[in-house]
Amino acid sequence: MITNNIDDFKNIAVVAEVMPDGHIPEHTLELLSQAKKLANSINEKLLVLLISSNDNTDNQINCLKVYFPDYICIAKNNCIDKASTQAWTDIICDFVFQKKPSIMLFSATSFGRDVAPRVSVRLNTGLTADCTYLDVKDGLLQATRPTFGGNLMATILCRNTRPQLATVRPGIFSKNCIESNNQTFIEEIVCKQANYSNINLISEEKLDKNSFNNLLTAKVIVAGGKGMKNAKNFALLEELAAVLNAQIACSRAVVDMGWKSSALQIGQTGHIVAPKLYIACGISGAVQHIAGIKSSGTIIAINNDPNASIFKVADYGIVGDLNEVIPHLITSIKKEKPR
Amino acid sequence: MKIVVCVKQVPDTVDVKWTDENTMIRDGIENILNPCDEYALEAALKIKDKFCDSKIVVVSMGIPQSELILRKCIAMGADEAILLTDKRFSGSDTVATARTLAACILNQIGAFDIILCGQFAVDGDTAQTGPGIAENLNIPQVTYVDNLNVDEYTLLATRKTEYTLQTIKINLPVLVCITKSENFAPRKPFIKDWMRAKHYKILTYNMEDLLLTPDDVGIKGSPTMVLKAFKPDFHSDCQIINEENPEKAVENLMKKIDYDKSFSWNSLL
Repeated sequence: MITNNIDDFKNIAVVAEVMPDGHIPEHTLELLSQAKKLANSINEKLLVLLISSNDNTDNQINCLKVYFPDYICIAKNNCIDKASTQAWTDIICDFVFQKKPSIMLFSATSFGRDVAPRVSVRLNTGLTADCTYLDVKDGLLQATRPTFGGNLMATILCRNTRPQLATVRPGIFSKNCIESNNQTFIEEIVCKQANYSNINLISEEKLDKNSFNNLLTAKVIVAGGKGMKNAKNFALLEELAAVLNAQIACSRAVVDMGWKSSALQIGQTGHIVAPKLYIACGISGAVQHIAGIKSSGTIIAINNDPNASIFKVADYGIVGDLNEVIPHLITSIKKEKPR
Repeated sequence: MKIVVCVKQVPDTVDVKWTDENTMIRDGIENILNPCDEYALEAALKIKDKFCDSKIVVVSMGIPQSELILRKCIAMGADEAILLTDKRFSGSDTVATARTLAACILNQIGAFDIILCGQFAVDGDTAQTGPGIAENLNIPQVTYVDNLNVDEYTLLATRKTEYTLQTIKINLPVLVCITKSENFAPRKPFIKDWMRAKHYKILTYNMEDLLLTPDDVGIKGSPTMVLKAFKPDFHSDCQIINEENPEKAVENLMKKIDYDKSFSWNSLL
């Protein structure tokens, strides 16, 4: 927005997402948790924008209150089509005009990455995409994000315009509540309800569980390479994956052998993933495979070759026979599970 | 039907090399047509296969060398190619880039039915330029599109979100961001197409041609700036466990993870 009243903009806002069944997704709560930390660090307030299609917001409000926002701002979405990014943009901009947050955060989901760029152009302000680290220094948001497939990190500033916008990668922050003693005020945001009849969501169906998109959102991935020796042996990885609620994936060599479909392939010509935990079993670690896992939080590698390249990029490595190591790993992880 | 396809020239590899001073090495890297943009062009060509009278105009904002990717687009079957090049465009973020591309569409290309963009570029990976263009032109958008079905006045898009498959109907004009879907695997030009492309006269526009001012473009027109760029602190120093007994090896691993507090198993389960 206009640069000459930067000082009018204060506080940090989070745009909450709501799932079709009405629940607030994990990534919104993670974002709230981080935003509360940041707001506390600069002595400013936390606002949450909740866009609701009906009056039944009690459950959502209770869920959000856990993170001690100072304000929950409710905008009524009465007749907008879910697919209309223009309509979502209108509502979010109405919120910005009324509340003037200095910083506004979205989750970097198909929703956030769809609407935030339009908000940034409408308000002529800066947006940093898919951030993996946030900080506030000298009143400015420092948003850090991966570029070149995770090979280069960039820290971005939005100096002269407000609000400073960012979409944040889901799963990066944990949803720890910080104890606080502030009250949470519930407010209503007045929106002009424009009717966009130019776009219509005709139908929406859940993606097949085995669809590759699961790899892109998975918190944990268990991947097998040539060292698995055959397709049947992947049953061992399925067991490990089950214990971790993880997705199964594989290297290119496995696809070339016909053991698994290319939909599960990780790497430069396959999928680039960013799970919190990546367990590479019997994967040698070719450069093209590494290119697909660079943005992972922690990489554990199991390989019987001490010179395997995978050990150059893993955080932890076990040199050994995966057929003997993995059963013990399964037992140990089961012990960690909350009762 | 007039279809505009926005394309970008990007480095050929995501494998970034570093100097001893931890700066990126850019020499010796080949430049290519951004993969998602190639899929977007294929989507345009498929529409033209159906509506034979269609015209496909590709436009790119870039350095003069970008004309090479525009020639590839002509070889693949685009009808016209436009290069937006100007020293003053340098340093543009996505807001400035979207404004520049939209200005070309508004002031030079004129009426259109569909704009196709790649969902993201392999270097910047912001996925912001497409929606930014749509906002500048005040038209609806559909992102993360996996498939298309076009009629004279409407477009039916299949959109893949993290968890769902959406079917969305839009009245033209519309902007669509195309993913690397199997439905749009790019066709390969023949030698004769390359020959034709070699002789094609690419239209070139600068800032004034687009009716833009210095405050609209480049660094001045960009609300964001890069404070610093650095090599990720990446997974160096693997802690290797060389224990013969597999049970002990796993025990050792669990201890290390617990000690380092790299992550909590609980938060993953």
